[in-house]
Amino acid sequence: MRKLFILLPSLALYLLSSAQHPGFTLVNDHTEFQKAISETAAKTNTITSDFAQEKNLSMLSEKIKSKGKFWFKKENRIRMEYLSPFQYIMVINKDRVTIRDGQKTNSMSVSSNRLFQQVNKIIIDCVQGSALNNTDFKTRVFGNSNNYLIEMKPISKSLKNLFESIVITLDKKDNSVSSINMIEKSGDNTFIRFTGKQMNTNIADEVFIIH
Amino acid sequence: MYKNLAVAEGRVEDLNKFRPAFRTALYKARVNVIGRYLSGLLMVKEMPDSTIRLLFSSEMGLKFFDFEFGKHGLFKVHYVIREMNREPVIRTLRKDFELVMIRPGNEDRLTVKSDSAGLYYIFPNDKGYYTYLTTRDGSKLRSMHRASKKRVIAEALMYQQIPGQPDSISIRHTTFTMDIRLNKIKNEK
Repeated sequence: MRKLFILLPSLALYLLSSAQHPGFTLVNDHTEFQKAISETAAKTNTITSDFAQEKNLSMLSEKIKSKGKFWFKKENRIRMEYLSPFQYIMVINKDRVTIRDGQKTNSMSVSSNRLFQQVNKIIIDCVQGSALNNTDFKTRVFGNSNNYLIEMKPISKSLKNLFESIVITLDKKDNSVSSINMIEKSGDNTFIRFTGKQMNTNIADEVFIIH
Repeated sequence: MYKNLAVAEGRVEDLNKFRPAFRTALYKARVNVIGRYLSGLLMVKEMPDSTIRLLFSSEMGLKFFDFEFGKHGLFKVHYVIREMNREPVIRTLRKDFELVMIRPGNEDRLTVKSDSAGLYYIFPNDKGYYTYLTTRDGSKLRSMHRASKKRVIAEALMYQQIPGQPDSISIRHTTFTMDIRLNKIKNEK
């Protein structure tokens, strides 16, 4: 009987965790996961891929779909270029963010705004697999035979206003990011899936400069 | 504001053909306000209960605001990002969108006037007017105004190849630097 009382809370926690991410189980010991991610990060200098983004507006029963291309280069350089149904480019180049929307280009320092810094760090952490180290979030890791799933719940009020949680899935084949799901309190979410990933191809520095 | 214009014949129903019948529409939005530039996507949807929802988000999915416009001037803020959560900002956006949706309210107090350029459908509100300017024969909507008692505060233009389905909308404020431009885009299903 006593064993049952000890087991029940653990079972409840296990069931709750599984329910939140069906098909995944909670990873309590991060050692193996952290090792795999660190090794991958160390040997990944560049990533190029296509992406498909879907913003789900739950109350409106609508989705906004967009597609584009993605580039990453160590250290901290990212280019996200939306190609359809609109043209829009966001480049993070070390500590600067530059956005081109049509003819208009805006550039700003990441450090000019605390919230901007936090969001920038999220993007970099998502891509580089360093999400476990992000102290702005409480993070849990889940796994199944093919994927890791990192669940990040914001701690700070400013980020809580933006996100209920961010869920990143990694493909165990190469520990690269397969998808990022940014979930809002309202039930809306933005889901980005990365496909056609190519690692360590040559990417010119000019890709991360918008003139 | 419109004292010098001649009284003319006209009915609220004359504007029905210009009123956007959104159903669901997605616009690329560009906003210039006091030296700052903001872009994103504006989803406009008519809900089953005939209310209209306007949801503005960044291209990367960050939501800026979610407004609901009902009949008889009903307005609800479902969400607004902290940086925009100021009464003057929300009030300006609310009135700008009421203008272009051609939901002026006070339809029983419509006055129609004219000059050589065309007709003015003038709806009073608490601090001024919503005015819709058409050609003399009423076939084309020339522009839309938000006006105080003394001057035009904002002017909106709408281009629609098919009546009721705006392809582009622009709103320009005259008392401070703000303009909004919306261009329809095809939302992939």
